[in-house]
Amino acid sequence: MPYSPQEQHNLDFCTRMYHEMLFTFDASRVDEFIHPDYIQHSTAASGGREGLRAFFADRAGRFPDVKMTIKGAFADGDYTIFQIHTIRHEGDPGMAIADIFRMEDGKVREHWEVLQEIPASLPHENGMY
Amino acid sequence: MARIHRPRNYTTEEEVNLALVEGLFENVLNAIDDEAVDFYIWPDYIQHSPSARQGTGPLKELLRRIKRDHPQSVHDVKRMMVDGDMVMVHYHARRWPGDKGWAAVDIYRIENGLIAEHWDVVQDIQPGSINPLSPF
Repeated sequence: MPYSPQEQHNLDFCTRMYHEMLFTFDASRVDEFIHPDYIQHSTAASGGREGLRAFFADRAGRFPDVKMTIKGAFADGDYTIFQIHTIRHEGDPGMAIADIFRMEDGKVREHWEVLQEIPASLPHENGMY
Repeated sequence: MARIHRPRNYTTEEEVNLALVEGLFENVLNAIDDEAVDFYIWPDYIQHSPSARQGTGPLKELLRRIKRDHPQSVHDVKRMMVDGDMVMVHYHARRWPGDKGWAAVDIYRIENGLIAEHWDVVQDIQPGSINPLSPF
């Protein structure tokens, strides 16, 4: 379905945010992508821009070989939704992540997240994605 | 039902797809009614959830088990979003009053009027998160 210019912009912006900041734990890019009044709902990070910078500093130290992939990307108005697969080290079945972002003033204003460890074997042959 | 605020007009297809998934939550998951499954989901729908087997048979079994063991179960929808044939639902599942439950994002693909594919991610609500804000 065709996106509105705003939705296409939001999808492109968030995709770039993954590659340039979230996948590289690059705390120096936070102000570029994240709204000053950022509302964080993730259970993995504390609030605001500062909480996100602290999260990146922690993860960059603990998971230097992490590999993250975008498996799905969707848009609805101010909202974008992403399916992410995070592999922390070789042989890791990984973590499934669903991210929901709400955009405001051209930056990410609010974030919700659900995280789940992927079991080593699934009860079907369809894969997680 | 908690659709997100609507910054644009949805297409007719999107309205129909949202209504289908709203109906799934109301008439199947929250009604805990295995007999209503076939009105919403194709029998051979592709299951990606790591906690469910393929097809509607296992889903119907699960609903019967929930109805027997946890008849007060709720799927409390916090927000629903639509993108063409894809519908995303962020909700708080609880098995009994006072249950902390779990957060989930379900993603549905709709084809020819019914759900044809399903992905989900679920996370138990646990005390002691680094973040004092609600996950919702």
